[in-house]
Amino acid sequence: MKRKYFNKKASTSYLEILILVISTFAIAYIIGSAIQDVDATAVPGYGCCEETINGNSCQYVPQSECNLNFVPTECSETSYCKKGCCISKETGFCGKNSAERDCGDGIWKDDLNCNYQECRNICCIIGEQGLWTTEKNCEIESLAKGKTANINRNVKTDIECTYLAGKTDKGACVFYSDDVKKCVYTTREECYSKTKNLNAFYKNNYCSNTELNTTCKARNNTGCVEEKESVYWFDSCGNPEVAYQNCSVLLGSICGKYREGLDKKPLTGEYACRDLSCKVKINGEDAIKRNGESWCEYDGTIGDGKDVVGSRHIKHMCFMGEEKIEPCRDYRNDICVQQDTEISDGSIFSESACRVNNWRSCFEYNTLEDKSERTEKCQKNPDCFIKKVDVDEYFKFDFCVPKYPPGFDLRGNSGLDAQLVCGFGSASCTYKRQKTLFSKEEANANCLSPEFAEKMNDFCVSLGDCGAYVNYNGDVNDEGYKIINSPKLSNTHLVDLEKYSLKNPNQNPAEVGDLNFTGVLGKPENLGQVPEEEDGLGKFIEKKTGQVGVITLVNMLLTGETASMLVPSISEFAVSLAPFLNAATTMLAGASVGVTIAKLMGLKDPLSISLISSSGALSAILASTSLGGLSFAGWGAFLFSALYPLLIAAIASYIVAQILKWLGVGKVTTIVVEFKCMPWQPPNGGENCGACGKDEVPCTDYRCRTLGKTCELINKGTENEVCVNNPPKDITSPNIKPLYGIISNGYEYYNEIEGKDGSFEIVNSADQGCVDSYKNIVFGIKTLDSEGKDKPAICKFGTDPTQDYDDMDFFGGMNLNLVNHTMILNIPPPEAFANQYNLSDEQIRELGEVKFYVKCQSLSGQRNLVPYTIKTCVKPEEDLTAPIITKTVPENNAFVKNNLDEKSLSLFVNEPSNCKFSREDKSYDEMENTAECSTLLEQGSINGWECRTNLTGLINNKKFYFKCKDISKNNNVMAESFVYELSSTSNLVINSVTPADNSVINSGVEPANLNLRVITSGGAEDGKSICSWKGNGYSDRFIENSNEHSYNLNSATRGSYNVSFICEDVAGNKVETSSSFKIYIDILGPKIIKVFSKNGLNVITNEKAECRYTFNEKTVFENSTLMSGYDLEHTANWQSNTYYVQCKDSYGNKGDRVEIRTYN
Amino acid sequence: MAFEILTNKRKNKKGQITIFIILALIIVVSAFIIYFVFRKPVTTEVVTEENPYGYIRACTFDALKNAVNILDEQGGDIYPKGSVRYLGKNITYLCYTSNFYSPCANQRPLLVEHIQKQLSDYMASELSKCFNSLKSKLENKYSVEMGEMSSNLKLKSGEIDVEIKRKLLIRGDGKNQEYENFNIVFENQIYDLTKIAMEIANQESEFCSFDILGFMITYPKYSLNKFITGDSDTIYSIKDRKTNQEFKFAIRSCVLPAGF
Repeated sequence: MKRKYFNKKASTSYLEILILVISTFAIAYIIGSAIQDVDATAVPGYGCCEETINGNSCQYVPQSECNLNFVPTECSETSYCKKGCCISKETGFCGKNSAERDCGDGIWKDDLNCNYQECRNICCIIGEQGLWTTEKNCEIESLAKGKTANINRNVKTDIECTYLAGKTDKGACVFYSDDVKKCVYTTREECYSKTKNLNAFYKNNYCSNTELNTTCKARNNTGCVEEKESVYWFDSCGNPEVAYQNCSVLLGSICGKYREGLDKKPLTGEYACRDLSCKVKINGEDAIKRNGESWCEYDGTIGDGKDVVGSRHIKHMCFMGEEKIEPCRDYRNDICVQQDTEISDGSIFSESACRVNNWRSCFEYNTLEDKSERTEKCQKNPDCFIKKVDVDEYFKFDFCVPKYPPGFDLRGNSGLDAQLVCGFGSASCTYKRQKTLFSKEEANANCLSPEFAEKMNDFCVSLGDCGAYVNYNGDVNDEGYKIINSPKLSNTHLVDLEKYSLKNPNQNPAEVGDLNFTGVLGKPENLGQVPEEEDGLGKFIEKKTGQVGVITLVNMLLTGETASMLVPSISEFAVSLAPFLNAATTMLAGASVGVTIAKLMGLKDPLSISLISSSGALSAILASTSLGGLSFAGWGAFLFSALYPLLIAAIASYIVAQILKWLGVGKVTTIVVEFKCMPWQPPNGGENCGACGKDEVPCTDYRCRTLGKTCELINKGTENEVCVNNPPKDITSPNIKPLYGIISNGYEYYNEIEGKDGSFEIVNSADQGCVDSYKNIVFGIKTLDSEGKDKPAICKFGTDPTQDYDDMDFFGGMNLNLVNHTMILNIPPPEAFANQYNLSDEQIRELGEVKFYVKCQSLSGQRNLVPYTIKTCVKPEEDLTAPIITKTVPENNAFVKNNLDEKSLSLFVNEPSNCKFSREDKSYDEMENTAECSTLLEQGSINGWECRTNLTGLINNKKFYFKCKDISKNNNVMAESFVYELSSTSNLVINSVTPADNSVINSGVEPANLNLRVITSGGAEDGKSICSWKGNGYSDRFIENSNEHSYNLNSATRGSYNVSFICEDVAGNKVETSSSFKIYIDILGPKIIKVFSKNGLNVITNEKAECRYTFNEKTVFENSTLMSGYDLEHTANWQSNTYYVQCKDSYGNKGDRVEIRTYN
Repeated sequence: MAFEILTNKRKNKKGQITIFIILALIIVVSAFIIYFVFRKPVTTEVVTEENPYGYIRACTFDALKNAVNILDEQGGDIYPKGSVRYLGKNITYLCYTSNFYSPCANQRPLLVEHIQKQLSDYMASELSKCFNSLKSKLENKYSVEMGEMSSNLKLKSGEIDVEIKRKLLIRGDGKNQEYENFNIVFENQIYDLTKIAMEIANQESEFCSFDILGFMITYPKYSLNKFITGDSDTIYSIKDRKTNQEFKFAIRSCVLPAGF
């Protein structure tokens, strides 16, 4: 029996298994050291382009996409593409975020958010129309209409302006035409314009008033008035009178002709308040929604990490009796949030919005060293939650995961993103059994039960489109995970996953979230406390055009309040304000990516926004790094595997899995179970492609591709966009060939045999002989169709030529459809196995032969029946070389926090070894300290074999000498010590902050521009650090990683602020300070408080001002005559005339124009 | 008896028919009277070469209408560059970024002026065609002299004003007719729709968002639609509910990639 499990064939199998598993993973130090060459602040080949080949202006693109003026810098550093404010001289409109080159004849200024007086909207009432526009535009409109404009500077919102315009004085205008007495109901100004007679106007009188003695008879008929909502009485002359029936758009009705069966029949006439509510279906059930209501609908279950693959959140709205939809961003980059509020009449009013799904931050939190900080931040983020995986006593962990997992694009380089994110869900569990004379002890026995796969898959699914899960069409697919040494997910479990794709009538909508969280001053009214002296102004409601919370307006009408009286709280606005935080949340997402990837790759600095934003972080890194002297292009496959140390124990698990088959469980005391989480795969073929767009959700690339591997959206951009099954014409299984051009220096592909049962060898270039042991050798295969053209396929490998494709492991650890598939070999020398497996000399000699088998599957599901063979051999030489320390964490010469005395260290060795260290350079045996090292072959990780220790006494001495001895027969010892030294740092200091403590900032516009600035010094790198600020419940990061930090807040409201600044450098030195300051905003113009005559006309203003006068009412301020004096008293020459006097303060605020009639 | 009954029946039937005929006549005559006598007088403009002003006006209208339709559908460009293809049309980006995680750059901060120029440039050749066409029609009967043409087109709230200055001297039938100023006011909402588009572009560049429902509730005169494509382009359309004129444009702002 023993012979069967340890004969030549079996030993060869063991060796092959071990080699293959070890070779699956890239070695991080190669990649890490290559990647650290990347300049994290700039993207090679990118720069500012004045005009791209597509015709877009001022974009940060690769030179190849530029048509006009390319400069290898950011656009903000050029004069013509720097963003600012463009003010039109012709219309008075302001264009935000505009490049100077696009401003033409306009006036270009620096502030990209146009926080200027000229761009401030005021209420301009012309006739009965209220315009919420700039002052300049008001003048232009007034001239164009030939009517005088009344400017009301006290109005703060557009809705208030519209409301006030409706209150314009109107009355009966009586006049004679062809000797006939006529009457029209109009405004005073219109009447004067018509009659030139001020006495012709009878304010608040209808034409039918008998005292006016007109021919108009009251209440002749009913009808609608243009731009008014209610049903009105009309007199016999056609003039509107009092409202017959009050309708309100907000309350769900508007004047219109009566429709039988739909509207309430009026008692008089043919006009009624038309019902504007919408009859809709929500989750298959009938419902009535009010005009202005909005709500969310989803594809199946959402939240708790359960959003199904391909799903999209949709916002529905009811407007004027019509249901509209607004799909949120695809790939669940946006979620639809909803708030149901009880309004004054007791009914429920729904408001919804699409807002950014802040899932990227969830992954960033997992890179924090402080676990409590991680938990706190995760729980505070409304889009994240702590996922607890608890399988057994020694296998449990927490991870911060997205509540609404993101979607992925699996094609091209984007597939790497998917691998990266899903890879977080891979883990291994070590089962141990110990038998004593009287008992048997086990640890992690549950890892061998079906529970392990179920819980791990549940975790995997919560990361994104990963694992075994279901798409929105109800198709379950289990190609997104791989499990070794433990039962797979059962069919029952898989079928049960379908339920998540069904619409759930009890589904709670996504959470709005706490505005405080997003950490940016978006639209918070109460960030600052209003100073007492400014009571009476009150707070103001939403200032942006058309952006008042609908529910606020509804409540206003129900309670009879007016716009100017409203002081709503933030919570009412949560939904309507949430989208306004999209810009900030988007930037936050980018910053999270930068931090996450940098930490995973062991980079010192986070990736800059320009690197990430140019083409996505991974693509930029891939394009700019090199690995082992070869281009990284096409090597993306390695990237994900370099980032997951969790895959450490997989080797042992895989070996044990195979050995179990030979030996049986009873003989094995350690089993490493592995769960690999990979991107979800669509079903084979494309029989369900036609389902795309059949529901109300528009069909997109993402939704189409999730329906089948060969589904494709064709005729994009046309009216005939459709998702169809577009299988490759070649329906044969893939052909496999070596990936020429991708192999490590010093090695080559040899002896290729073409054909279905083809093969090739990997050999040493020098002598076409065996490869070196413990050496990273990169190689790959290419999949082609029968005509030799590229054919995407998923490839797997195994050690048994008869093994079924489904049971094999993924080539290179990737389950993506690729053309080029890459992998790394790292083979221990045969004698390494001898120590561990107690093999005979003959078996050791034969261990040098390595053979494994590859099968691939095309998009349409065609698989190789006959495996492709890859052969190599390892030099059967004695191990005469000493171990090499390949990597340390932290890296050598890393900065250490000031006054830190102790730090843990991991160092990686290229072969199983024992390591010692000392403060002096000594021989190995004399060294006093021993590191804890993994020496089993199956404990080798992606970085090598790990040794851990704790370094102490760092305050006095940061230098250590390390030596390692391998466990081969020769026990080779390092001749030279590895010198490891940490660099000391001083305290990080904040030299200054702006605004300074106790300062006052004055502004003439609201919101004001507030620039936060921090200057740091000391620490690890002369003050270079990452800083953040927080104040009044809000916080955000400064973008720069340097010693000068600047943050522009362009929506700061008036009030008191207390802001803390926190900075941390690369060594972990932290410093904090705070500043209290006030923002005072003066948006009121100067008032003329006294007028008198003394050597001319004198006026006194309530603040320092510039005053001007004119005798022509239509002359604008700028063209009027300047009065002398600039302080509070101003003088003009005396004339007997009517003066129109207006004053302006230093912020450009103009006061009301005052009419002064003087007499001699 | 039976004969009498039958005869009476016949007489009754004839009587019924007579009554129906009379009623029909009354209805037709009444309709005639109502339609022709009581209807409001309709003024029609004579649009022929005999009325040069009317001819130019009608010709300009047609050309303007055509141009505005194109601009409305394509985001304010006759020949869009920097655009996205949507439902078979190229729609200009009013605000655009080629990168991820960043707000867009305003591509048309002076949109009104831009559209004015697009229309002016388009109309320059169209107006020439109008005058040439008028001239060739008039030359059948008259001698026509035309001077140099200058035109000025201005967008205003609710209208487009076209001022054309061209000396037109028509001689014939023993009389001379002279025209010089052709001032045409074309009712159109493009200025107002453009103003809203600019506000949307501003908010997208600052906040990466624009709430169409809140806007529509505040300004129920307009109906807005917002659609985000699978490639993260946002297509907006603004429709004047009374005239059904609709302006479409594209925005690409704060794009998030699929994944990192």
